[in-house]
Amino acid sequence: MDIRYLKKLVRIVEESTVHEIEIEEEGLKVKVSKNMALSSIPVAPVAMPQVAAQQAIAGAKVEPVASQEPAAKTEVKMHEVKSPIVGTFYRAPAPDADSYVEVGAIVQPKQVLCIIEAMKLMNEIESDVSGRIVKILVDNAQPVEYNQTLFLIEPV
Amino acid sequence: MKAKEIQSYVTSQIFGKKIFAYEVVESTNTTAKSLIQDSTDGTIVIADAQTAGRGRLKREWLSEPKKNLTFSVIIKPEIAPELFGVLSLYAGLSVAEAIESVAKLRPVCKWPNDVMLNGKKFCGILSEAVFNREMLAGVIVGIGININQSIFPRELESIATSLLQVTGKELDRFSILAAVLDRMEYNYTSIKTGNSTGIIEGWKKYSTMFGKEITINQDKHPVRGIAKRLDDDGGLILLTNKGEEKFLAGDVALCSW
Repeated sequence: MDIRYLKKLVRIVEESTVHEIEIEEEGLKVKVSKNMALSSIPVAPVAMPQVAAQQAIAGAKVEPVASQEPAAKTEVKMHEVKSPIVGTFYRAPAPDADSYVEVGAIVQPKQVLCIIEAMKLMNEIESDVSGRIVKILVDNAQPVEYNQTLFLIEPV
Repeated sequence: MKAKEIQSYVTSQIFGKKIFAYEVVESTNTTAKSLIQDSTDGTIVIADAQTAGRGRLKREWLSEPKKNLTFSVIIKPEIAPELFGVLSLYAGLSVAEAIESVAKLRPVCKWPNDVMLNGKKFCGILSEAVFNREMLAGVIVGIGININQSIFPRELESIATSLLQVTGKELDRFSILAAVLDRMEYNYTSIKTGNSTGIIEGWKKYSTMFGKEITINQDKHPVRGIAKRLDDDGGLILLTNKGEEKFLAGDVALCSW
């Protein structure tokens, strides 16, 4: 059974009001269940509930591969596009031009996302993954630091 | 325009060893970008005319066909990202030195990458870095030099000039190209070793701003101060009423260039 399929199952359970899904396929049985204790844990910044939350997460069962894949991953791993240099961030090739990308846009590898200008050296920053732009973290014409995250991309 | 003919002028060893010459291209930088993967240091793309010559942020670069130089140089420096800015100074310095040796003129370098004569611009530089998965694949240094153009559009008259306008005589454009490549090759040894001092010291000799009051316009916010020095990365250090401030971008204005 494909690991991505399992991840999808976990996500379905998490995002829905369904508490438990059980699937049997080619002799392999998988049960994903939501531990309801989670919802009753207060989100206060103290040590106790954190421990409790971890226990609760451990309680979300994925069988039989629970040991290989931590269950109940609540966030999809976002791909970060970082600035390779210090400079000024531009979202469009020219002041009156359309932005290279907007939030929600689907991008392909090698597609230009922005320009970083340093000392009039123009650096086109390309995407290295296919995915959907989830967040643009810098405003147009603002200075950026080396290694500063510019975009969050949800891989597709 | 024939690559072979141009090659006969070239005196540098590596720069200009490989030349791609065209009658017309959209922009030599765009062509160079498509060639960068398989090109070596000092590969040249040159054209008699560009249909979409451009400058920074897609500003148009207008050049009369066959009168001037419009070319791009591919370099593949192993340079730390924090020293990228020095590449702008490197290009401007190399052009200034070449013009001085061929045309016997003393150009002024304006931070970070303009080269001026009589307070007007005769050379435009557009440097573009190409990254391949966060690794630098190379840098394209696009250079436009107005040489034998006698007339400029009215809106550019007050800011643009050519060597012909300044000297009153026509110059051989490929001799100038050869001189620029020669200086670029010489100065490239500093870039290659990752030491910016040589470039910065050389560049400073062509600048007139140090010790003077200047205005730097960054994102439409002018800052006034005395131009003190350049940092190792080419950044401009200005003494303002808040103390020393460093700039990596902006348009500099001085009362007299």
